[in-house]
Amino acid sequence: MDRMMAWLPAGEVDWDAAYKDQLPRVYNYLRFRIGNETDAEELTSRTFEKAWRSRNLYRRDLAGFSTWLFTIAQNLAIDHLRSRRSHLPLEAALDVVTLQTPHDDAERDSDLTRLAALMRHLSQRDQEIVALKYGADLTNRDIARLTGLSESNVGTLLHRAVRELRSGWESRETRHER
Amino acid sequence: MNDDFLRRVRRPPPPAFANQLKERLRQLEVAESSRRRPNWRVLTIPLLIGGSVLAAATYLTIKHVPLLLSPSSEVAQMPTADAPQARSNAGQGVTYRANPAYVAPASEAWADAPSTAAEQPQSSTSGTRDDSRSSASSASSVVAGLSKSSASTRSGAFTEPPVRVLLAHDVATIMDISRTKSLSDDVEVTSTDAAFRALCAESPMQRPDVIFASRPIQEEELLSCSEHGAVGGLLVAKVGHMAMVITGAKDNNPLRNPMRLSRDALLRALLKRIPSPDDPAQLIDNPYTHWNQIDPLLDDRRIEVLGPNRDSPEFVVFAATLLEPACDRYPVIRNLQRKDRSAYEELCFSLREGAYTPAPLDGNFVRQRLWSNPGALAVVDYRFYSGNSADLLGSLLTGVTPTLESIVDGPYAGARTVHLYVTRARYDGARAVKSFIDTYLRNNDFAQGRRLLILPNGETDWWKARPAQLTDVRPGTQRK
Repeated sequence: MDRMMAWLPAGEVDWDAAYKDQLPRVYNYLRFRIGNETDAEELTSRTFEKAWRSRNLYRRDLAGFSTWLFTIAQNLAIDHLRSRRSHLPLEAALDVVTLQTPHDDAERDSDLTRLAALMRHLSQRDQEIVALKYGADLTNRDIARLTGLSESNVGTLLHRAVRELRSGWESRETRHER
Repeated sequence: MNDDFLRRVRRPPPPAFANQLKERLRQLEVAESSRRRPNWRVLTIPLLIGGSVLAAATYLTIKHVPLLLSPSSEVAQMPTADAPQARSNAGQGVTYRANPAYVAPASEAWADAPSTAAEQPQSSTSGTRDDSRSSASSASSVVAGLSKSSASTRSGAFTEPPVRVLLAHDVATIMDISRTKSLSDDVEVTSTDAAFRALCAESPMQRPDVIFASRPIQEEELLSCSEHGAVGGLLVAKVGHMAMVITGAKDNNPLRNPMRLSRDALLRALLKRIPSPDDPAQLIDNPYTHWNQIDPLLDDRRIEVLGPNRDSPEFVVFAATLLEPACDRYPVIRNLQRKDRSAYEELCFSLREGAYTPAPLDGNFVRQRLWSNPGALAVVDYRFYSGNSADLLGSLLTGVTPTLESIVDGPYAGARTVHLYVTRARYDGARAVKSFIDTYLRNNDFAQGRRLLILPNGETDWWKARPAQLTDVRPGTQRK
């Protein structure tokens, strides 16, 4: 993942190369995570803007560049998803089901919309892992580093999540929220 | 694994979007470069203008002094100076409007990557990209000081959520909760167990950002955090300490060794129903009337304890420091905590009349209540104890005696520490969360006037060596 960084002196980031390499990953991670093209584009912009502004604070000895970048993207995604939810009392929040997000009519039949509907039936943790794996195209090891889970746990969770998504995808039905 | 259907959903970013974003980043770079390199020509012009205005004002003032001194004269109109376009306040930033349709709030808290600066130049961005913005007119709003994390702050289509804070019940009772509310709109009160469960909930969106608890996280709770991916682990800071002392009135016999009680002995003396000595899984009505019935080593004296009223904050501290730890040693009582908190509190915190007498801890407590009842013991908070130590016996709780050191560093059995917990991912990754915590730890005035909480007080050398600061939570190293 950080192969492009290998030849750079510590602390130096080739931002052109970083942009070219990481933009598709961040963009697709946010597409998978948010389920909406417009919002994904906006959050992608904010991710890179914040990374740029904070570039002097990036420390290579603490985290790989993409880990650092995806941490920014993750926090933006969490804040965005939380701000869209209704505020619920604490006890209800512990059992809450993710509320359905508004759809863009033009995307109604798109694969992304279809996937977003299926993803909502996964836990938030599983949604995150799927988005990192198939949106960001990260390895299980990188996902483990970002999520704090073990690599084997990531593999197991991914396997189950993909199986559930495939079942829904192949049945060509979109289940609705409770 | 057949996952092609997922890989097919990926797509490259639209070229127009990618180019626009690249251009925007380039503009940021240009804007930053021009800010770094001072344009002396640009700076000289305002200086000249300002200097000319000042000179003119001075001249006109001097010229018209005789007129001003004369009560019948008309005061000349002083010319007003046109404010220059660019100005700076001492240490404060200036907000420029880049897009007339977008009004930046006075301060914005942005989520950010690891950030150590409380103030950073930031661009105010609207929810839509504005291609007409040039680098020269790009907005720069400087965050001046701490901004309140509020759901009312809006940036385009996105709302910056407030920092979500959970307080345990006992902590909320004895801390200045208004101080917490002044820093965040989203403050809730719940049980300590529920707060830890929420902190490590499976869904990141259901997790609070910060919790305040009156006990350290337990191993199984820490394991849950790891399983649910508390990214980077947990951070903790000790933000205050509470302590209760079991004592009595000093009597006239300096040779008598006062009896020493354990928390379990106190529980067996005061609770209406207690675990049976023969079968701790069974609860029986409390049969004890004298201390030596509980433990032969204790005095042959009627059980009488004076303490805080059940509705008082002092009782909350009493319950947290002495009663609850004693109750939790018995599974039959501890298991009620999760199943039925009300039943648990009824069992553990309802003390039997006759054995326990509520008495306000005021100036008359020692001389009127204790001295008139020399056989009674008293449960008092640490500040009361240290302030009246000349009239009191000393701590009767087994173990080390209560001092600031033993309370703060852990050995004293009648103390509890208020902990602040946050995940490293949120502390490092969300600027609003970091600001909240850094301000809280720095100001340290959240319990002004609340004598029950012993605060890390930077005013003394002893406390200066123990500042409240965040540290990593390591399994197996939690102290109370």
